[in-house]
Amino acid sequence: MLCVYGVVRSSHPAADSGGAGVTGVQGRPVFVVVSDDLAALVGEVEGELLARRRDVDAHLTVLERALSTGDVLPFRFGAVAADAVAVRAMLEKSAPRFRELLARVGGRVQMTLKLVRDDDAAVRAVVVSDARLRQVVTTHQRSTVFADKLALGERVAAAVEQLSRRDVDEVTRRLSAVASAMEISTATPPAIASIALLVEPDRLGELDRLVASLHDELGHRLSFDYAGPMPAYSFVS
Amino acid sequence: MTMQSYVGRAPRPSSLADVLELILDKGLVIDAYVRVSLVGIELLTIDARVVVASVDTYLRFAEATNRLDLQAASNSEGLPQLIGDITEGGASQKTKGALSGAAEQVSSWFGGDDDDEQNGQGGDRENGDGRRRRPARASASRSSRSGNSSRSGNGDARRRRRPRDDDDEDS
Repeated sequence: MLCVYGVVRSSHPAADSGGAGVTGVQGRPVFVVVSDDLAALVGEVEGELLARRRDVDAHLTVLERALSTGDVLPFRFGAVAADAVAVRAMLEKSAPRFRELLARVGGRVQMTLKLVRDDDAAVRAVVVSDARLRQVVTTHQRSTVFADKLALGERVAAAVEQLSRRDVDEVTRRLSAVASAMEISTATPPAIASIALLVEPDRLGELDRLVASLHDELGHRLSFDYAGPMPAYSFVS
Repeated sequence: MTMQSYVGRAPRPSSLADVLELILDKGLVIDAYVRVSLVGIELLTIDARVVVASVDTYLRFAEATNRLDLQAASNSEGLPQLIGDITEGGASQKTKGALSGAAEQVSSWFGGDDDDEQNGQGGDRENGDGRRRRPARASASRSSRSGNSSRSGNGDARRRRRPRDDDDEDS
């Protein structure tokens, strides 16, 4: 069985070298299956795959290496095909789609920015800025009645949510100046958003500075998990 | 604020959950010739995505207001007379104790799956009463690698938790 890491143009250096020297999932070497102008980066695997740290890292490493020398369409971890014949059939059948996607993400990398809220700081911000909410807080803060506490918590939570939505809007509005595409997904609290950006490598410095200035403005209530460059996972589905 | 801060850029997201979300959730899939072959993923992704129950959230925010230094907050806003009340230490200590007690109670409702069957009035609002308890159990036993069902259960896990929150709010 072959695990499929991603698809590149057959002019990609990785396709030229036959993927030589790169170790992938299950410690197996990576090689390429070529069909016309496209090539798939693949490796032998045995049995069902497990999302073990080692193999997850290997999958990412193969794709990051490919990205460092050219354009790559990343496949989901665990994608497998029966054999090279099936891989070639896939390349032939989906060639138009792959070409179109390569044109869309080509020459760009993905960056991710996750915004994580400091709940205490956010609560402070909403209570300080809203006199009516502050009144509610001072009235019910000491109550030991369960319903009061729920009602108070609900009010505060709603105000905090609203603040977070404004923060996400502001961050994405500012980032859109640098990104050629953006994908915003909601995240599990206290994270408030995961933002994927498609960026030209030449503009990474600009993006770094933008993220730093956003952090200057919002860092007291948000922390930023900023990562990349990585293959354009979020822009190929 | 004269000097701009530097926000470190890591090559990959810092948590394994975020990395998994990228490479399990995003990226190209599949056609007639390529399928996804994975075991144990359900547990991992549920672990990464459990949504905090709303009652729990409300209590957490109510508690957060107790930690507020409203005196400092309001000095800038000028509401001095409200403040004397709430900074009297003893009472707020008591409140806090009661509050965490309540929070513990709530989490034990959420955590103890098997002993609250009779609370399941919300079941008729949901698609199948028995099924909605599964995710909590799955995440409680997440160290085992026994799960091999498909990943499609994840979204349901999120949906299924909600009716129980409603139940608890009603009580």
